Amino acid sequence: MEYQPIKNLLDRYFQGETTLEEEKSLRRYFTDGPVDERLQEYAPLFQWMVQEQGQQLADEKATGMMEQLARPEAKIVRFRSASWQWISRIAAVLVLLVGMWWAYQSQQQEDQTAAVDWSKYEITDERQALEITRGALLKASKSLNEGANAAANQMDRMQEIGKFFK
Amino acid sequence: MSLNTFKDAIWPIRDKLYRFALRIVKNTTEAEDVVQDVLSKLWRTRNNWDQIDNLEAWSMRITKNMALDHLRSNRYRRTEGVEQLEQVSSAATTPLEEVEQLDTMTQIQQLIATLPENQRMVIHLREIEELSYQEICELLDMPMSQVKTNLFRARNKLKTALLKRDSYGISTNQKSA
Repeated sequence: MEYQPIKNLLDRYFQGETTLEEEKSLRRYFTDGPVDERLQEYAPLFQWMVQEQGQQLADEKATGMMEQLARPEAKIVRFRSASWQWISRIAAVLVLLVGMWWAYQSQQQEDQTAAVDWSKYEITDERQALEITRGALLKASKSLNEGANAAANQMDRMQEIGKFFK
Repeated sequence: MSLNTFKDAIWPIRDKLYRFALRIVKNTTEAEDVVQDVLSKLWRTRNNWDQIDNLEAWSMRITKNMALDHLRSNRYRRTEGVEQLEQVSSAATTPLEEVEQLDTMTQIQQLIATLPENQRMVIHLREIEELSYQEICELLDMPMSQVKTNLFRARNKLKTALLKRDSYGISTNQKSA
Protein backbone atom coordinates (compact mmCIF):
# COMPACT_ATOMS: atom_id res chain seq x y z
CA MET A 1 0.00 0.00 0.00
CA GLU A 2 1.21 3.50 -0.80
CA TYR A 3 2.58 5.75 1.88
CA GLN A 4 0.13 8.66 1.72
CA PRO A 5 -3.17 6.77 2.15
CA ILE A 6 -1.73 4.92 5.13
CA LYS A 7 -0.33 8.13 6.60
CA ASN A 8 -3.74 9.77 6.26
CA LEU A 9 -5.41 6.81 7.88
CA LEU A 10 -2.85 6.87 10.67
CA ASP A 11 -3.47 10.56 11.30
CA ARG A 12 -7.20 9.92 11.48
CA TYR A 13 -6.53 7.00 13.81
CA PHE A 14 -4.68 9.22 16.27
CA GLN A 15 -7.49 11.78 16.02
CA GLY A 16 -9.97 9.05 16.97
CA GLU A 17 -11.81 9.28 13.65
CA THR A 18 -11.30 5.80 12.23
CA THR A 19 -13.83 2.99 12.08
CA LEU A 20 -13.22 -0.52 13.38
CA GLU A 21 -12.64 -1.74 9.81
CA GLU A 22 -10.06 0.98 9.14
CA GLU A 23 -8.27 0.11 12.37
CA LYS A 24 -8.20 -3.53 11.30
CA SER A 25 -6.62 -2.56 8.00
CA LEU A 26 -3.95 -0.56 9.87
CA ARG A 27 -3.13 -3.60 11.99
CA ARG A 28 -2.92 -5.76 8.88
CA TYR A 29 -0.63 -3.26 7.16
CA PHE A 30 1.81 -3.04 10.08
CA THR A 31 1.90 -6.76 10.85
CA ASP A 32 1.84 -8.27 7.38
CA GLY A 33 4.39 -5.84 5.91
CA PRO A 34 6.23 -4.52 4.05
CA VAL A 35 6.05 -1.28 6.03
CA ASP A 36 7.18 2.02 4.55
CA GLU A 37 10.36 3.23 6.23
CA ARG A 38 8.74 6.54 7.15
CA LEU A 39 6.08 4.69 9.17
CA GLN A 40 8.29 2.11 10.82
CA GLU A 41 8.14 3.75 14.25
CA TYR A 42 4.42 2.96 14.49
CA ALA A 43 4.78 -0.71 13.62
CA PRO A 44 5.47 -1.99 17.20
CA LEU A 45 2.20 -0.43 18.43
CA PHE A 46 0.04 -2.38 16.00
CA GLN A 47 2.13 -5.51 16.38
CA TRP A 48 1.64 -5.26 20.12
CA MET A 49 -2.14 -5.14 19.59
CA VAL A 50 -2.10 -8.30 17.47
CA GLN A 51 0.05 -10.04 20.02
CA GLU A 52 -2.34 -9.09 22.82
CA GLN A 53 -5.31 -10.34 20.83
CA GLY A 54 -3.70 -13.76 20.81
CA GLN A 55 -3.23 -13.91 24.57
CA GLN A 56 -5.11 -16.84 26.09
CA LEU A 57 -5.89 -18.35 29.43
CA ALA A 58 -3.44 -21.21 30.07
CA ASP A 59 -4.93 -24.57 29.03
CA GLU A 60 -4.36 -26.26 32.39
CA LYS A 61 -6.01 -23.34 34.20
CA ALA A 62 -8.98 -23.39 31.85
CA THR A 63 -9.37 -27.14 32.27
CA GLY A 64 -9.21 -26.82 36.05
CA MET A 65 -11.88 -24.13 36.01
CA MET A 66 -14.23 -26.21 33.91
CA GLU A 67 -13.71 -29.28 36.11
CA GLN A 68 -14.54 -27.23 39.18
CA LEU A 69 -17.72 -25.93 37.58
CA ALA A 70 -18.72 -29.41 36.47
CA ARG A 71 -18.62 -30.73 40.03
CA PRO A 72 -22.14 -31.22 41.37
CA GLU A 73 -22.93 -27.95 43.10
CA ALA A 74 -19.62 -27.72 44.91
CA LYS A 75 -20.01 -24.73 47.16
CA ILE A 76 -17.00 -22.72 48.21
CA VAL A 77 -17.60 -20.87 51.44
CA ARG A 78 -15.22 -18.04 52.11
CA PHE A 79 -15.24 -16.52 55.54
CA ARG A 80 -14.45 -12.87 55.72
CA SER A 81 -13.63 -10.91 58.83
CA ALA A 82 -17.23 -9.69 59.12
CA SER A 83 -18.45 -13.29 58.93
CA TRP A 84 -16.09 -14.31 61.73
CA GLN A 85 -17.48 -11.54 63.93
CA TRP A 86 -20.99 -12.83 63.42
CA ILE A 87 -19.90 -16.42 63.99
CA SER A 88 -18.25 -15.35 67.28
CA ARG A 89 -21.42 -13.60 68.39
CA ILE A 90 -23.61 -16.58 67.56
CA ALA A 91 -21.17 -18.93 69.32
CA ALA A 92 -21.24 -16.73 72.45
CA VAL A 93 -25.04 -16.77 72.50
CA LEU A 94 -25.06 -20.55 72.05
CA VAL A 95 -22.60 -21.04 74.92
CA LEU A 96 -24.79 -18.83 77.11
CA LEU A 97 -27.93 -20.78 76.20
CA VAL A 98 -26.23 -24.13 76.85
CA GLY A 99 -25.01 -22.84 80.23
CA MET A 100 -28.49 -21.68 81.18
CA TRP A 101 -29.98 -25.02 80.15
CA TRP A 102 -27.38 -26.90 82.20
CA ALA A 103 -28.06 -24.74 85.26
CA TYR A 104 -31.80 -25.30 84.88
CA GLN A 105 -31.33 -29.07 84.61
CA SER A 106 -29.13 -29.12 87.74
CA GLN A 107 -31.77 -27.17 89.68
CA GLN A 108 -34.44 -29.64 88.61
CA GLN A 109 -32.36 -32.55 89.94
CA GLU A 110 -31.87 -30.82 93.32
CA ASP A 111 -35.61 -30.24 93.62
CA GLN A 112 -36.23 -33.92 92.94
CA THR A 113 -33.75 -34.89 95.73
CA ALA A 114 -35.50 -32.62 98.24
CA ALA A 115 -38.93 -34.08 97.55
CA VAL A 116 -38.72 -37.18 99.84
CA ASP A 117 -41.81 -39.30 100.30
CA TRP A 118 -42.05 -39.42 104.08
CA SER A 119 -45.28 -41.40 104.05
CA LYS A 120 -43.38 -44.68 103.71
CA TYR A 121 -41.57 -43.96 107.00
CA GLU A 122 -44.84 -43.25 108.87
CA ILE A 123 -45.46 -45.63 111.83
CA THR A 124 -48.80 -47.39 111.75
CA ASP A 125 -48.25 -50.06 114.45
CA GLU A 126 -49.47 -48.85 117.91
CA ARG A 127 -46.96 -50.99 119.89
CA GLN A 128 -44.06 -49.71 117.87
CA ALA A 129 -45.32 -46.16 118.26
CA LEU A 130 -45.59 -46.65 122.04
CA GLU A 131 -42.04 -48.01 122.28
CA ILE A 132 -40.64 -45.19 120.21
CA THR A 133 -42.53 -42.62 122.30
CA ARG A 134 -41.41 -44.28 125.53
CA GLY A 135 -37.83 -44.30 124.38
CA ALA A 136 -38.06 -40.65 123.46
CA LEU A 137 -39.55 -39.76 126.86
CA LEU A 138 -36.89 -41.77 128.68
CA LYS A 139 -34.23 -39.94 126.75
CA ALA A 140 -35.83 -36.61 127.62
CA SER A 141 -36.22 -37.64 131.31
CA LYS A 142 -32.61 -38.74 131.46
CA SER A 143 -31.53 -35.39 130.06
CA LEU A 144 -33.70 -33.55 132.56
CA ASN A 145 -32.31 -35.62 135.46
CA GLU A 146 -28.82 -34.84 134.33
CA GLY A 147 -29.76 -31.21 134.26
CA ALA A 148 -31.27 -31.35 137.76
CA ASN A 149 -28.20 -33.05 139.19
CA ALA A 150 -25.95 -30.49 137.58
CA ALA A 151 -28.08 -27.68 139.05
CA ALA A 152 -27.99 -29.30 142.53
CA ASN A 153 -24.23 -29.55 142.34
CA GLN A 154 -23.99 -25.91 141.40
CA MET A 155 -26.26 -24.97 144.32
CA ASP A 156 -24.04 -26.93 146.75
CA ARG A 157 -21.00 -25.06 145.44
CA MET A 158 -22.71 -21.72 145.80
CA GLN A 159 -23.56 -22.54 149.38
CA GLU A 160 -19.93 -23.50 150.11
CA ILE A 161 -18.78 -20.21 148.59
CA GLY A 162 -21.42 -18.33 150.62
CA LYS A 163 -20.09 -19.82 153.85
CA PHE A 164 -16.60 -18.68 152.93
CA PHE A 165 -17.66 -15.00 152.63
CA LYS A 166 -19.67 -14.98 155.89
CA MET B 1 -29.59 -24.32 32.47
CA SER B 2 -27.23 -27.18 31.66
CA LEU B 3 -23.48 -27.33 31.61
CA ASN B 4 -23.62 -27.75 27.85
CA THR B 5 -25.34 -24.39 27.51
CA PHE B 6 -22.60 -22.86 29.63
CA LYS B 7 -19.98 -24.43 27.39
CA ASP B 8 -21.66 -23.03 24.31
CA ALA B 9 -22.52 -19.55 25.56
CA ILE B 10 -19.79 -18.52 27.99
CA TRP B 11 -16.83 -20.86 27.72
CA PRO B 12 -15.78 -19.55 24.26
CA ILE B 13 -15.27 -16.02 25.65
CA ARG B 14 -13.04 -17.10 28.56
CA ASP B 15 -9.89 -15.72 26.85
CA LYS B 16 -11.61 -12.40 26.27
CA LEU B 17 -12.56 -12.25 29.96
CA TYR B 18 -9.01 -13.19 30.92
CA ARG B 19 -7.43 -10.50 28.73
CA PHE B 20 -9.75 -7.83 30.11
CA ALA B 21 -9.11 -8.93 33.69
CA LEU B 22 -5.36 -8.97 33.01
CA ARG B 23 -5.50 -5.44 31.59
CA ILE B 24 -7.06 -4.22 34.82
CA VAL B 25 -5.22 -6.20 37.51
CA LYS B 26 -1.91 -6.40 35.59
CA ASN B 27 -1.04 -9.77 37.08
CA THR B 28 -1.59 -13.15 35.41
CA THR B 29 -2.32 -15.08 38.62
CA GLU B 30 -4.82 -12.51 39.80
CA ALA B 31 -6.39 -12.35 36.36
CA GLU B 32 -6.88 -16.13 36.46
CA ASP B 33 -8.48 -15.82 39.90
CA VAL B 34 -10.81 -13.13 38.58
CA VAL B 35 -11.86 -15.31 35.65
CA GLN B 36 -12.44 -18.23 38.02
CA ASP B 37 -14.66 -16.04 40.21
CA VAL B 38 -16.51 -14.64 37.20
CA LEU B 39 -17.20 -18.10 35.74
CA SER B 40 -18.35 -19.38 39.14
CA LYS B 41 -20.69 -16.42 39.52
CA LEU B 42 -22.08 -16.88 36.01
CA TRP B 43 -22.66 -20.57 36.69
CA ARG B 44 -24.43 -19.88 39.98
CA THR B 45 -26.77 -17.42 38.26
CA ARG B 46 -27.51 -19.70 35.29
CA ASN B 47 -31.21 -19.74 36.06
CA ASN B 48 -31.41 -16.01 35.26
CA TRP B 49 -29.59 -16.13 31.93
CA ASP B 50 -32.81 -16.04 29.94
CA GLN B 51 -33.48 -12.57 31.39
CA ILE B 52 -30.19 -11.19 30.07
CA ASP B 53 -30.13 -9.64 26.61
CA ASN B 54 -26.41 -9.87 25.92
CA LEU B 55 -24.68 -12.56 27.93
CA GLU B 56 -21.22 -11.68 26.63
CA ALA B 57 -21.54 -8.00 27.53
CA TRP B 58 -22.89 -8.98 30.93
CA SER B 59 -19.94 -11.34 31.48
CA MET B 60 -17.52 -8.57 30.54
CA ARG B 61 -19.21 -6.21 32.96
CA ILE B 62 -18.94 -8.73 35.80
CA THR B 63 -15.29 -9.20 34.88
CA LYS B 64 -14.67 -5.46 35.04
CA ASN B 65 -16.34 -5.15 38.45
CA MET B 66 -14.58 -8.16 39.94
CA ALA B 67 -11.20 -7.14 38.53
CA LEU B 68 -11.59 -3.63 39.94
CA ASP B 69 -12.54 -5.15 43.31
CA HIS B 70 -9.38 -7.25 43.20
CA LEU B 71 -7.31 -4.27 42.18
CA ARG B 72 -8.63 -2.09 44.97
CA SER B 73 -8.12 -4.72 47.59
CA ASN B 74 -4.67 -4.35 49.15
CA ARG B 75 -4.24 -8.08 49.27
CA TYR B 76 -4.32 -8.33 45.53
CA ARG B 77 -2.24 -5.27 44.75
CA ARG B 78 0.62 -7.02 43.04
CA THR B 79 1.73 -5.64 39.71
CA GLU B 80 3.64 -7.93 37.48
CA GLY B 81 6.64 -7.07 35.38
CA VAL B 82 6.68 -7.36 31.67
CA GLU B 83 9.04 -10.30 31.62
CA GLN B 84 6.16 -12.49 30.54
CA LEU B 85 5.90 -10.67 27.27
CA GLU B 86 6.08 -13.29 24.60
CA GLN B 87 8.30 -13.24 21.60
CA VAL B 88 6.40 -11.72 18.73
CA SER B 89 6.37 -12.39 15.06
CA SER B 90 7.13 -9.18 13.25
CA ALA B 91 8.65 -7.65 10.21
CA ALA B 92 12.06 -7.59 11.93
CA THR B 93 14.57 -9.74 10.12
CA THR B 94 17.81 -9.78 12.14
CA PRO B 95 18.34 -10.78 15.80
CA LEU B 96 19.29 -7.17 16.59
CA GLU B 97 16.06 -5.91 15.08
CA GLU B 98 14.07 -8.50 16.99
CA VAL B 99 15.67 -7.47 20.27
CA GLU B 100 15.07 -3.80 19.58
CA GLN B 101 11.49 -4.45 18.55
CA LEU B 102 10.87 -6.56 21.65
CA ASP B 103 12.29 -3.69 23.69
CA THR B 104 9.82 -1.32 22.03
CA MET B 105 6.96 -3.72 22.73
CA THR B 106 8.08 -3.91 26.34
CA GLN B 107 7.94 -0.14 26.52
CA ILE B 108 4.45 -0.12 25.03
CA GLN B 109 3.37 -2.73 27.57
CA GLN B 110 4.83 -0.64 30.39
CA LEU B 111 3.24 2.53 29.09
CA ILE B 112 -0.17 0.88 28.81
CA ALA B 113 0.20 -0.36 32.38
CA THR B 114 0.84 3.18 33.62
CA LEU B 115 -2.19 4.68 31.86
CA PRO B 116 -5.09 5.81 34.07
CA GLU B 117 -7.61 3.05 34.68
CA ASN B 118 -10.28 4.39 32.31
CA GLN B 119 -7.83 4.99 29.46
CA ARG B 120 -6.41 1.52 29.97
CA MET B 121 -9.82 -0.14 29.84
CA VAL B 122 -11.03 1.89 26.84
CA ILE B 123 -7.93 1.31 24.72
CA HIS B 124 -8.03 -2.39 25.54
CA LEU B 125 -11.67 -2.79 24.58
CA ARG B 126 -11.19 -0.86 21.34
CA GLU B 127 -7.78 -2.09 20.15
CA ILE B 128 -7.67 -5.63 21.49
CA GLU B 129 -11.32 -6.69 21.69
CA GLU B 130 -12.42 -4.48 18.78
CA LEU B 131 -15.63 -3.24 20.39
CA SER B 132 -17.64 -0.35 18.97
CA TYR B 133 -17.83 2.94 20.85
CA GLN B 134 -21.41 2.16 21.81
CA GLU B 135 -20.46 -1.24 23.24
CA ILE B 136 -17.66 0.35 25.27
CA CYS B 137 -20.06 3.01 26.59
CA GLU B 138 -22.50 0.37 27.78
CA LEU B 139 -19.86 -1.90 29.25
CA LEU B 140 -18.10 0.82 31.20
CA ASP B 141 -21.18 2.92 31.97
CA MET B 142 -19.39 5.86 30.41
CA PRO B 143 -20.70 8.65 28.15
CA MET B 144 -19.62 8.50 24.51
CA SER B 145 -17.65 11.74 24.80
CA GLN B 146 -15.68 10.34 27.72
CA VAL B 147 -14.94 7.11 25.87
CA LYS B 148 -13.60 9.04 22.87
CA THR B 149 -11.57 11.38 25.05
CA ASN B 150 -9.99 8.50 26.93
CA LEU B 151 -9.15 6.71 23.70
CA PHE B 152 -7.73 9.86 22.11
CA ARG B 153 -5.50 10.55 25.11
CA ALA B 154 -4.29 6.97 25.39
CA ARG B 155 -3.43 6.71 21.69
CA ASN B 156 -1.59 10.00 21.68
CA LYS B 157 0.44 9.08 24.75
CA LEU B 158 1.54 5.96 22.90
CA LYS B 159 2.31 7.95 19.79
CA THR B 160 4.38 10.47 21.75
CA ALA B 161 6.30 7.66 23.43
CA LEU B 162 7.02 5.98 20.09
CA LEU B 163 8.20 9.21 18.45
CA LYS B 164 10.26 10.16 21.49
CA ARG B 165 11.92 6.78 21.37
CA ASP B 166 12.58 7.30 17.67
CA SER B 167 14.17 10.72 18.28
CA TYR B 168 16.80 9.09 20.56
CA GLY B 169 18.25 7.40 17.47
CA ILE B 170 17.27 3.80 18.02
CA SER B 171 14.42 3.71 15.61
CA THR B 172 13.61 1.02 13.12
CA ASN B 173 14.16 3.65 10.41
CA GLN B 174 17.88 3.50 10.98
CA LYS B 175 17.84 -0.25 10.96
CA SER B 176 15.99 -0.36 7.68
CA ALA B 177 18.20 2.18 6.03
